Amino acid sequence: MAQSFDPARYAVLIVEDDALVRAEAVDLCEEAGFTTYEARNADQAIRLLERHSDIRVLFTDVEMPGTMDGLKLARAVRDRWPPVAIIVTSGRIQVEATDMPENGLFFAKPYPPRGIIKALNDIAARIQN
Amino acid sequence: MLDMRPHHLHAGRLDALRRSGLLDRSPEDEFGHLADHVRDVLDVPVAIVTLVDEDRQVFAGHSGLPEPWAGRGETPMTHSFCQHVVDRRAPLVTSDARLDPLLRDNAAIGDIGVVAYLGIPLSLPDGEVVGALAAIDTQPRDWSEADMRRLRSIARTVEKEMAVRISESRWRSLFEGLQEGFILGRVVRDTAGRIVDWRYEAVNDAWHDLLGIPRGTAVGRTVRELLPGVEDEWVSEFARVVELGEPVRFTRRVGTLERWYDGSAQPIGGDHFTVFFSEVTERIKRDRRQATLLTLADELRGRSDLETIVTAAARCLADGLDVDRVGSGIVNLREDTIDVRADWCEPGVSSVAGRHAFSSYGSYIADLRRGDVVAVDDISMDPRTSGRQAAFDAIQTRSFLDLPISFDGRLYAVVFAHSRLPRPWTDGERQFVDQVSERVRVALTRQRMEDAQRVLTQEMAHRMKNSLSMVQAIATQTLRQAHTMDEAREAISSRLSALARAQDILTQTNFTEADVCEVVNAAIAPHRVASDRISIAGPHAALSAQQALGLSLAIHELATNAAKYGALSSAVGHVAMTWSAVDDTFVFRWIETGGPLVVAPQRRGFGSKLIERIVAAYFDGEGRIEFDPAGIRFTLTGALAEPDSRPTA
Repeated sequence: MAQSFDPARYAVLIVEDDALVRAEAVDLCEEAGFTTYEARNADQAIRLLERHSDIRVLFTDVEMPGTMDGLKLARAVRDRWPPVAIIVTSGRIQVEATDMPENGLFFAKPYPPRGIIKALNDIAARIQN
Repeated sequence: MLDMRPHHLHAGRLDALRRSGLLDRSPEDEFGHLADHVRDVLDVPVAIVTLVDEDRQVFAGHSGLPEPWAGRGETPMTHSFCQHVVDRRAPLVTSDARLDPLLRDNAAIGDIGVVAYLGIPLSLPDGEVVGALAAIDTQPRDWSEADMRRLRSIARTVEKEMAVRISESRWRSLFEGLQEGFILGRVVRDTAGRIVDWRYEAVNDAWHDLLGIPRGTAVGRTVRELLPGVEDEWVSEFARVVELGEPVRFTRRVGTLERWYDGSAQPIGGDHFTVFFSEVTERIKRDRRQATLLTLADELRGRSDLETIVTAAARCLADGLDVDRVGSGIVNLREDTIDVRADWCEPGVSSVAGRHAFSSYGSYIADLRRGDVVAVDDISMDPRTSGRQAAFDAIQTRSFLDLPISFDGRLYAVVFAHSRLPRPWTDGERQFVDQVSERVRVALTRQRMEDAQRVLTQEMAHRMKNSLSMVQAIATQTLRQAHTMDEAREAISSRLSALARAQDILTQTNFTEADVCEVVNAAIAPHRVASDRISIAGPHAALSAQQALGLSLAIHELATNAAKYGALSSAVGHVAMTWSAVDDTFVFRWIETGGPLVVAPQRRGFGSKLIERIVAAYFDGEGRIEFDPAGIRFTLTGALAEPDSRPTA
């Protein structure tokens, strides 16, 4: 691991409409050392992305109230902020590979905490190199 | 005169004669030959075989008879000696009729020149005397015993011939009476000896009817001459019958006649064969429609969308009806138009793909909207389409059948069958289309149920995953802050119990909403100590599923804390829960009084995070805990469920 690795330099944007699940996701990411931002829908998420350039990872649920679901948000983010890594999670049985943005990662709910942390660390490592 | 024609009274005899078929002329002149024989043997100028009918005598055979009698083949009764043979059922002998009181006035004497007459009765096999064999001389003649014996002998031969003729006639009338067609055929060979055709040598009446060909036009012609363009199998199969000497059964179509036949062909020796057959066009069509319906049932099984169901129904009509064009179109009710995507057309018939206005074709759209099948035999005769002939001419249609396909009570699509010529739609065809319609309706209904079931199942799976995510969050959050495993175990299981109680309430409403009163009561139930220690007051109001789960967890946290350190930990403390729901604003208060002195905690755990931040987020509002020394107070202010998920008042 590189000496200068400091996950706090990389913020994760957590988009999840269930407050309880969102709170847990925030704790999970912060425990791994990342800075977090929270949004309960896609519109809030877009506003946060526009304001905070340190966001390097989008961690979003698929099913959300509002104009955009998580997959649409993911595609919008891939278009507007290409460097942002994307992790999608859903309680739906399957999300079609064709619906996923390029290089997006998918985790079925309930997701494995270690798997998420490993994915976040891998992303951070990739950004650093 | 009465005694001249007593045969009138012999109705039985006349019936027998007429039924025998002997009165019909036969091309073979067996009786004529026998009359020749009489002339030779008895050396007389004239011999006749007569059949005595009601008011005439008919010559079954004759020899030496002068014209015009020979050509006419019969005489009136005024010229009949033979009637007396028949009446008496006994021979009549006269040497000179001119001198015989019975015969001297008979017109045959003057007109035909009968002078001497010897007549022997002729009987049918059943004994009825129907005529006579007579030897006639134009001169007086004394008949000898030998003459009588010889004539009797020849009369027996005539009777045997009559018996044969009757038997043949019975068979012939059987053929003619048959419903089945009969063919006696003989194969036609080319110079190399190969069978290339066959000729009709005999056919019965039914044959003409079954082929729709005028009587008397077949015998002597070959099948290829009679039915130009007939399928080769009609020759090759009967050729095999002749060459292999084995009978075959067949069910085959004559395409040019558009008829189906079912029958058998038998070899009868040499190049001859016979065929018995019946027409089975209707049966074949019925069978084909039945098979088509089965295919449709298979196709509709597991079909998912409306459009494939419509296409399957159109294909079914194309297979089951003999028409010139079949297709389907999606209806636009607002515009009163139909968009035809695809159609199958016979050669020479052009496609009608594209948009059409129903109004161009008449008024039958009203019937389609009602869900009725529209069958028009002739567009110029039907009141719904008459006057629209030009529009129908433009699409080469003279008769049609439209099958409406409705979904949710609205006309969605029409499957159509068009014919260039007027065409009465048969009961069988109408029933077939009704059955297609019924199967489509069933498929659509089943499709809707399956769709609903699939949505429900997916929704249930989704909710379960969300619930598990909440459980995961509660468990990890609790573990993260627990000091001991025992504490963690206790906290996790009691929090999950609170979640489960709220789930119970939600189950009743299919996870859409829950009444706040029910949620509060269920949440506090495990913590109730004495009835007067906890008071609850607030109106009925609907909470969303997430709000119900959140409020339930919040009350659980507050009650657990109160039991450990607050109002419910002492013998006299009191908890008051009140809430109000005015417009969209929901305010919930938890107020403890009479408990031990409250000290604000050093460290805020998951419990306070839950009630202050998480639950508040479910209400899109805020939650505040006040550590008033007199008792803990919690106030949740937020909005009720989204308007679309609230029950209508």
